[in-house]
Amino acid sequence: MHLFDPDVKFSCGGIVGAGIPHALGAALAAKKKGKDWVAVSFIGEGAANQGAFHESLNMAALWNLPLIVVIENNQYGISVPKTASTSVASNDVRAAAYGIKGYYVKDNDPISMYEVSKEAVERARRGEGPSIIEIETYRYLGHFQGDPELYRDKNEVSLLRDKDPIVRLRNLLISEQNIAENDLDIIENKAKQEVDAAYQFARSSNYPNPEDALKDLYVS
Amino acid sequence: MQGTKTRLLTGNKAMAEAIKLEMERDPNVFVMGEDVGVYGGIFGSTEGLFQQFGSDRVIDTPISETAFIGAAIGAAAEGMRPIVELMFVDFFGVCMDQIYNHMAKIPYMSGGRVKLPIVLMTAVGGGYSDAAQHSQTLYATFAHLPGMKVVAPSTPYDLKGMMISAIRDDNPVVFMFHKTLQGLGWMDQLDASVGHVPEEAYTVPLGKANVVREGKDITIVGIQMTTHHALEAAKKLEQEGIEAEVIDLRSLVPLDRETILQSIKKTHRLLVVDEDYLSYGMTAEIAAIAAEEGLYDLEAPVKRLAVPDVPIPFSRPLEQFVLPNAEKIYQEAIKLVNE
Repeated sequence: MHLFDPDVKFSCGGIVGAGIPHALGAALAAKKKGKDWVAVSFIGEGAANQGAFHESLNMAALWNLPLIVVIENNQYGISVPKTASTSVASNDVRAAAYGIKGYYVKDNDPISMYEVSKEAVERARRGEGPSIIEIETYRYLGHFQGDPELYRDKNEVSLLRDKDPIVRLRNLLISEQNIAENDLDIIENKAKQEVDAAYQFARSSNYPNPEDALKDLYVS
Repeated sequence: MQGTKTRLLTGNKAMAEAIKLEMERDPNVFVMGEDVGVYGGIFGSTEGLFQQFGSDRVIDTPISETAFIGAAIGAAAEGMRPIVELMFVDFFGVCMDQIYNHMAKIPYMSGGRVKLPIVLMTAVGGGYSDAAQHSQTLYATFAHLPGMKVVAPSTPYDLKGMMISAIRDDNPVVFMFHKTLQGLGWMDQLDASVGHVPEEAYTVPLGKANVVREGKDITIVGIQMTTHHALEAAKKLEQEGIEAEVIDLRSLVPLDRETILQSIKKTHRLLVVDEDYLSYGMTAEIAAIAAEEGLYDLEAPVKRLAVPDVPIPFSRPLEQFVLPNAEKIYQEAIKLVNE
């Protein structure tokens, strides 16, 4: 949960919603440095009810910053369905509260995701300010390993698996774009290999020295 | 500082001058906070900066501490050096997650790969009837949590030198300035709030305490206002033939244990005075260090003076009752020396 890769400007953390202000700050730095960077904060629908969400979007709108907040609405905040946590049907409508643009991607659709993101990024780069993108998606597994998932019907999950967006996209590419299945297999296998290699690297790596726990409290 | 030109400055002007010099030197330094712009900061910490640098570098924010302190983190991660003001330390409640879970921990969690050269400056202290939610110091609250340096200068000279050190430090520094030591026109002007400050940029190291008065009979450790109360008590003690050594802590993290331990080797008696709540605080920490590492140098138990674990009252006599002052220090010192 606490992964940092400054080389690709990626970070994540374990406090719901707390990363949005960090993205806000990166967007602020982009504007101050005159760069065409766009800061993107990925959150769940639960985080859209945190104070940090509302404060950050107000400030991003006020200062016209290149920030995009992407809400992966997977319908549940652990066990609490969105209908029991959120006062609006979808978070894109909250864009009106800040005077900014909101987009909604229905049904996990990858094409729509691409198009909407492209528009939001281009608008940000043109200095047209922040956006909210809400994506209707789903969570096949429990919130955590060992989650008994007593809060939802087992049927719910199997019905959603039938609509898997990656499978849908694959079928679409074959049927409408005449892409060869073999070419798609190559892409999928490459992705699997990357994941396998990462897994092997983690498995075969040594644990750190216990005394390293005292390192890096401060930078020199 | 032979031949250096100094002038008398108030605490707030000394701080603002430090920020000005660093902003002139490094274009990555900028200031964010509530009323830091045209107003110059509620306690004068940014006086004159907006007029010189403009709204791009001295930025007034909405009342959104979580967002703007979090934004300082994001901007610092991208190479900037933000100075962000938390108007009153008492307001940490609305944004502490960003401070202690992110600003203080991201460098460690990233194995030192993400640097956050942030100065979080904040006004602390009471004594002027601002009541429970606007009078706290909370030294221990911040000092207790790993990952951030916590400093509390008590003179204009140190305010300027330590602010410059803080800005140049690549680590997050919580810079606590005491409101009554800013020398503001609308408060009672204390002598201690004005001092000689050199014109040029200079640094005072973070993490070093200062022996502000040498003595052999008792060590009194203070911080910010309690240092000044201790000095006043020391004058009175001198008339009783008691020479007090007064140590101005200046930094809570890193804590200068050595200076304190060296002092009690000489005096054998330790009185610690804090403007924060008594329990689980600075006085307890120093007493513990004395017990662990200087026990055999002590000839009497450590004595602690602090606010007695109640919210700071509004009513003047009530507030004066709970805050440490020179008279209380004098009385405790007399008792301790005679133990």
